[in-house]
Amino acid sequence: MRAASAISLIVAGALSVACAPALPVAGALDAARAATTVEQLNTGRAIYVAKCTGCHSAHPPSNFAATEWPAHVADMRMDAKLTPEDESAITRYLVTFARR
Amino acid sequence: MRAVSLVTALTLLAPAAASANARRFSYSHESAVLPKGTRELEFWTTNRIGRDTHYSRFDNRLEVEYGLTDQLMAAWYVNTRAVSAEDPTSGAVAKSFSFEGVSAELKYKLADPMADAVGLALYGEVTYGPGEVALESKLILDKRVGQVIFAGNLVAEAEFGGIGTKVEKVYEGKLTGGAAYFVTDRLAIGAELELEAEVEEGEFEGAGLFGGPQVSWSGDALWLVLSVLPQIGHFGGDHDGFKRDLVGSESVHARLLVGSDF
Repeated sequence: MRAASAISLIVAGALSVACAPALPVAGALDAARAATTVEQLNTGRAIYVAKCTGCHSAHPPSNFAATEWPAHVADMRMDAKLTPEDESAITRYLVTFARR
Repeated sequence: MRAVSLVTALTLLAPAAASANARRFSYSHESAVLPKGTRELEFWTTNRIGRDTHYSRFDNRLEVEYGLTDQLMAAWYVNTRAVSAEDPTSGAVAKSFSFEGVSAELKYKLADPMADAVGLALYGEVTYGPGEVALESKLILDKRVGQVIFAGNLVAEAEFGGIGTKVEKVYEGKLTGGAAYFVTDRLAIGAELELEAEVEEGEFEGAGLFGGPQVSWSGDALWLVLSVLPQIGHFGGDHDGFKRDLVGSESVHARLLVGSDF
C-alpha cells in the first residue's frame, strides 16, 4: 500500500513537471525588469504561440541571448506574416526571458 | 558512409527555425495548425507490403493546407491507389491504379504543447470517392518535454460503401502514438505505434498492432518524415490469440510525407 502511494506520488510529480508550460508566463517582477506591463508581455507570449508554432515548436526564450532574439524574429517576419506590432510584442517577450 | 555524410550535411544546413507546418510523425498528427493566411503543399504515400502471397499497395495523397485563422486550418486532398497483388489460385500478379476520391479536412487547435500543459486539437475529415463516403475524426494530443516530443491520436472512422445499392458500413478505431528526440532543431528520430481495429457490418474483424522507427527532417522550404512500422501482431478475426497475420493484414506499413510552403 505504501509502495503504491509512493509510486503514485512519483508519477504525479513527474507528470506535473513534464506538463508544466515550457514558455514562462510573465509576472509583475518580469514586467518591472522589462519596463513594460504584464499584459504586454503576455500578449507577446500569445502572439508568439499563435504565429510561430504552426511551423515549428516554440523555442524556449532561454535558448538564445537577448541580443540574438531580435534578429531571429526579424528573419521570420515574412514566413509568419508578422505585422510590425506582432514582431515588437514577440521580441519584447522573448528578450525579457532570454538567456542571461 | 554516403548516408552518414548526407544526414550530417542536412543537419548542418541552417541553425534555427524551419518554415511550413513541419510534422515529426507520419501516423500521428500534432496539434499545430498553419498560421492565418499561410499555405502548404504535402505529398503522402503509404505503402502496405507483404502478405503470405505477393502484395504491395500504395495509398497516395496530394494535400493543400490553408490557415483560416491562427487556430483553425483547412485542407483538401486528392487520393489515389496503386496495387500489385498475386492471385492465390492462379499465381498471376495483377496491377491496378485507381482514383480514390477527394477529401476535405478541418483542424482546430485548442492548446499548445509548449505554452500549455498539453497540446490539444480536434480534427474532422470527410472523403467522397467512387462508391464510398468516409468520415474521420481525431482527438490529437502532444507534448514537448525538453528535446523530446510526444504525440498521440485517438481516431474514429466510418466508411459507407455501395452507394446507390445496399450500403455497407465499416467502422475503424485507431490509436496512434509516437515519441521523437530532436538531435538538432531540424532532425528528429524516434518511434511510432499504430493500433487499428475494424468492425464490419457489426462484426469485429480484428485489430493489428504495428510499430517501428521514424525519422524527420525540416529545412527552410521543405520537410519530410518517414516511418517504417513492421506488424508486431494481430488479434481477432480468423485466428486465436495475438500473433502476426499475413492473410488479412500486411507485414509492414510505411509512410513518407513531404511538405513545403508555397
